[in-house]
Amino acid sequence: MFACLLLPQFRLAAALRWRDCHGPAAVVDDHAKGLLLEVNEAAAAKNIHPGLTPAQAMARDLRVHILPRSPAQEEVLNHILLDRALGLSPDVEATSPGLCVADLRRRPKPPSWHGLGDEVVARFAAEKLRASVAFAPTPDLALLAAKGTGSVAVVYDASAFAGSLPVGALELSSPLAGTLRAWGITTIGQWLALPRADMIERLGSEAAAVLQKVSGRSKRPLRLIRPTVPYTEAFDFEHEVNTTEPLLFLLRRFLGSLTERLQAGHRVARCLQLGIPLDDGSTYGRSFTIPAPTSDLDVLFRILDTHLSSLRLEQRPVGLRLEIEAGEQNGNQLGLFESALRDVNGFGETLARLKALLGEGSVGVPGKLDTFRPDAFALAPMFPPDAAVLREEPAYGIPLRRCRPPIFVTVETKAGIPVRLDSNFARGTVVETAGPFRLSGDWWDEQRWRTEEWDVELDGGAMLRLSRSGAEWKVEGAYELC
Amino acid sequence: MNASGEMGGRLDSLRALVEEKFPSRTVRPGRRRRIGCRPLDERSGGLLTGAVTEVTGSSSGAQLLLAALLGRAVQEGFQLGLVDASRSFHPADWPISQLNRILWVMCNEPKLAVQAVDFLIRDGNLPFLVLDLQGVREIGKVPASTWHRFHRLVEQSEIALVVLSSKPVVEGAAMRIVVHRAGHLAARLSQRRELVEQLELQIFERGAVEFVEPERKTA
Repeated sequence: MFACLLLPQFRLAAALRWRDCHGPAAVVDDHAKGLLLEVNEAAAAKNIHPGLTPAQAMARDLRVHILPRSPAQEEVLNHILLDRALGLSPDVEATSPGLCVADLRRRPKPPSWHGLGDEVVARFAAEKLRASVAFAPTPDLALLAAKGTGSVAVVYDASAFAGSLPVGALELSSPLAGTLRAWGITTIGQWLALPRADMIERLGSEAAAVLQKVSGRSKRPLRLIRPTVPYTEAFDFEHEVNTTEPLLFLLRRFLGSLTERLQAGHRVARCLQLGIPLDDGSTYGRSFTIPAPTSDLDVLFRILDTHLSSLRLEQRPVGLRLEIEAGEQNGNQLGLFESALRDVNGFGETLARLKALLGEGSVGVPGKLDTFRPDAFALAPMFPPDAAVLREEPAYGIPLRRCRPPIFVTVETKAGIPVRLDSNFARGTVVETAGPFRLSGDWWDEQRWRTEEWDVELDGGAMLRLSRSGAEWKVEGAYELC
Repeated sequence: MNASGEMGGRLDSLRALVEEKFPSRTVRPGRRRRIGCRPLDERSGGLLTGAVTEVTGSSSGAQLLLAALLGRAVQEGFQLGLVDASRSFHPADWPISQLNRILWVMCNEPKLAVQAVDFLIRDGNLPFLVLDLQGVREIGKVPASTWHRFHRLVEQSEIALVVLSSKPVVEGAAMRIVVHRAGHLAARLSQRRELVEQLELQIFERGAVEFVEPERKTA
């Protein structure tokens, strides 16, 4: 069997998604002379049909919503459609926008094809989408059945099904359609009843191809896609927004839809990519790594909420994009002596709050850089996973407390050795010195540096690290404060 | 009985009432956790969890106490938070195994540092939190009510909050440790573990006779 999944009035469904729009509605294509492309049932009831201009549509009913096409949403709907089809079978063809066909011959036969179809339609309905699903012995019959049904159709007998279809269900060229009409043939069954060889000789190769398609005897090979469906949602605002409230509202709905898809595929979110197109044409982007990958809606939403609550943008948002990088859920086996954080995602959220309070680059796990440059350090966003190092490395001396920034001081020297120090920070006679420790680096480029360091102890008890660059002396830090 | 004594008695009876009504909400402080500093571990059994400990005195001594705590963090595999109000932590002087155990939070003012500690206590993931206020001039700007709030917050958890300060500032600290100077310039060649072993410190616990309260400013 083959399954065909169809989103009827695809472009209209995409334009209407995430909008509270009741009553007659139509989608218009700016690139096709501004004519209506698709209309809903309420609009059709008012005699508004595709091909009219917006002015003609409004002349029939002033309340009609004329919506522009939403390419971002169309892409998202296609992803959702493929995701659902890939849930049925790994062999899926993306036939056209809003339409895909899945080859079910490799999967076990379900107890009821109708039951399976209802399940798929219900999943689309959960995302406020109307879908048609059809099962048939060939891809082309499945497609014809999906187009002819409002929800679920199952074709068991190919010839009986095809025989009952009107000729108008086939996309025929106008000369062929005209000839059949002139012959008084209205259904495919009547057409198939004609002597095949004579009829093909009279009507040509197009008729042969069409009849081959509807006979149910040929199964065309599907153009299979690679099953990598991105978990994305997008929305373009009609007007610029000034507050974060609409963004948060939409993000929650985006995440609701995306987490449901993740859970259906037994997958978890590893990373969130947030994109906010701005009114100057640029896009604000931010990536959030999920400390403990999850598909929990509340956890993922809190991460975005915490970030947006402290976000200040110079330009106003005109859209919203959210992409989830999904991964497999894998259990973590802890080492015997390793103790993990109790609530890793909660901790990640606390880190986000701290960064919002103190600024980026103020919170993290410190590390060393491969340089002797004074005060060079790295800052990792999270504890390393292989942190269970049981052996303690030897360390020497009293750890330095660094002055950031260094403090300029007046130093009196004798034969190049500091003997007295005077400043607001510390003052006194030097009673012990160690140094000089001459350091330099990056000699190969313009960022080269050179310094001379001294460790000194003053008569008042303070122990300091001094640095000298030319005639300038600075206190770099203290082993013992004054 | 004077007014403060009466107030204390009423507070005790109120606490007893809350404890009786909500037993699960009450965690008794007093569990001790060794930190790998022999002078401290042998004399008091380690740091108090679910309580605030203040370390005052010499900055070098406080740094060595932090070194002992980080050494224990590597051995036992736990992580700690260091809220650095003066941005003075110098990663180059610490072994990488210990750095991997620290969440370093850099603040420019005590007010932000206090807020950061508040976040981390409420988060509850890190069993040890160190608030480094040494060398901070505006230390007196932290209101006393902040410390009382921290007492109540950590009492509900197993967190040991350690405040490093040049002079006593934490009102009602459960334990106060006065550390003495850790050595002279020549100590830079000694193994840090030996310096920790030689630390001289005085330990005062709440309820003991010689408890040192912070100086109060008179209006």
